[in-house]
Amino acid sequence: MNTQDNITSTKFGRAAKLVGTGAKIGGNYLKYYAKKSITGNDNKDELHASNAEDIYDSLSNLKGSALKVAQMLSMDKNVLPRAYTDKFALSQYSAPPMSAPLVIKAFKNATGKYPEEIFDSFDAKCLAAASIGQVHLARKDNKTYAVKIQYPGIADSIQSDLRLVKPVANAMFGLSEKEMKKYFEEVEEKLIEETNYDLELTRGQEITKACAHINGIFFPKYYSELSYSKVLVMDYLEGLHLKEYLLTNPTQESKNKVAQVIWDFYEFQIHTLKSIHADPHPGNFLFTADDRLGVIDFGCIKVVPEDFYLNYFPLLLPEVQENKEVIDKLMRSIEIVFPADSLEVKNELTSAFLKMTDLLSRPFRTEYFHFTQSFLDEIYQTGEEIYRIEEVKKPTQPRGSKHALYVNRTYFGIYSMMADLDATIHTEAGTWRFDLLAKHNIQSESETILA
Amino acid sequence: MRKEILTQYMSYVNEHGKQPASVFKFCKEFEINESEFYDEFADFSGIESAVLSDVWNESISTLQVQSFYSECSDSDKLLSVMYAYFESLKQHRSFLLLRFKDWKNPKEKMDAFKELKKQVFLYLNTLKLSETANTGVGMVDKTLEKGSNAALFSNLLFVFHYWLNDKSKGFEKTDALIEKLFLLSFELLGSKSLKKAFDLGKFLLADLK
Repeated sequence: MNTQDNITSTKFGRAAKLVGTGAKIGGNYLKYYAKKSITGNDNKDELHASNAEDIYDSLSNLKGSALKVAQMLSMDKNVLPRAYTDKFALSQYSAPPMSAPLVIKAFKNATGKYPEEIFDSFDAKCLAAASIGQVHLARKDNKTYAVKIQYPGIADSIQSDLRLVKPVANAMFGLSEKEMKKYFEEVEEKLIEETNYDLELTRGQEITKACAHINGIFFPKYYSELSYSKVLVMDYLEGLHLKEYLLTNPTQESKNKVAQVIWDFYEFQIHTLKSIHADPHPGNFLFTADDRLGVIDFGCIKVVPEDFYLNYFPLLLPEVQENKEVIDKLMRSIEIVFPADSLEVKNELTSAFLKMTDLLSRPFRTEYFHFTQSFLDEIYQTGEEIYRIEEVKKPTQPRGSKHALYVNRTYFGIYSMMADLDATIHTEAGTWRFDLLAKHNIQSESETILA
Repeated sequence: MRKEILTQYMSYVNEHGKQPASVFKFCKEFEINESEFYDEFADFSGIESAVLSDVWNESISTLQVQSFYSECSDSDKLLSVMYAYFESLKQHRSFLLLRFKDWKNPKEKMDAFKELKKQVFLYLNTLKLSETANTGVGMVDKTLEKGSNAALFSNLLFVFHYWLNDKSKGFEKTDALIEKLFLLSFELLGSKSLKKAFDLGKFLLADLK
């Protein structure tokens, strides 16, 4: 538990505020029940209103640059869905661990057996909190397993929690429920997917198999014969979390090496698999002394639709950024600009978006790139600037594709980790660049030079 | 015989949706000697009370043979018993629903819980869950101990009521409730505030004299 808490305390620590909100909401429920028992008056609206207020308060505290950037990456107003995802991911970290008796009960309910009937030994004390369950160590035939057990009733509570935050989101963005719907559906779908361990098992097996060739990476093996819909059994991986790893004072060469592994892993997922591990928070990566990287938790996978891929990623390429005609087309297809927009709004949004993508695509334009804290700060700053635009602050309609939500969150996570590692790595856009340019009938600059 | 009467009675209620008309009719239908019935129970509510308390005692004895149970802390022991208890109650759920579904006022059916309460208190006395002992005043210790037992038992009643209305798969929500409710109670009992409240009371009382 502690390790997880420590890791999240840096970049993701802001969400601690949300935990305070959780406590307040608990208080609201107490008030509600106390009032109900005294007056017999069942005023749920009042309860929702006070909950909404408390959530709103803490969300306004959360409007740090980091959150804004996540939103800016696509220029859509997805702070909240983003806060949503964080709230759920993180409130789980702070949820009290299941008591040992409940762990055993949950295990027995899921598998029909007691842990000792399956393993030689089972540690009922929780090793780490996973997004919607917790991880326990077990041993059998001299092998150590990580056993992820889902919190009982979590799938139900996700839906009710989402319902709770929805009205706040609408109020914050001044958008109607109908307009926000596409983002909520995306977030809800992902969260519910995370409760599906069967899906995680298949996806984990597929992705780890497809990525096994990447240099320096290692994954846990998933054991389908030991797993159930609420209990997932995999190898226990050795390695340190990012923060602990940095405390060991690794050389810059080592840091560059592991950073390169992370980069290659994501390049391959995005451009080849078109399906990405969309939860790149430091707790899911394990760093070893011999510069290898272990990746765990395949519960949150974003499948990138071909259509979105073809219209979104070309924006990272300088050739495209210079081509006004193509840009106009792409801005429409990724739902940043709409035909009904005035020319003024259209231009303002387009230039702001290009400014941001120009910054974000910098790594792809050079052979090697040094990820520094000041690079991140520059991104934050640009985000702040863009946020001052009227149409961004108070949009007349939802802007930005729902698919951008998790893709951006992923990029933001990777860039932050890279900056923490202060890494200089090979980042030049791979062959996907030519494929994308060809799709949009643009000649590549390097080809022009060669010609 | 006890077990047999229990089973027959429950299946009668499940079949007919109500209690048998009289002990006489019940014994006649199941060919039980009436005096044998009275050896075990005074009336039907005695049976209902036994259903609840027998399951409790069975849950404890099943757990006592498990290694985890014998090694864990007292609070974990109580939690284990609670989980096991509601797990076993599942097999009598139809019966319990029929008898307690219209249960609005907890006091209404308290009779049925009398025996359970006794057993729960006996069990709780074997554990050390609170810091209430050792105020140095015998009577105060007794009162505090009784108070914490009563609080834990009312938790159990609350969970029971919740479980009757629980619609979640495998009654997962009841599990979650047990966890949250009891962990909070342990924390409150473990804190010294109760003891301090008594200390303050003693002090003020002495002044008044």
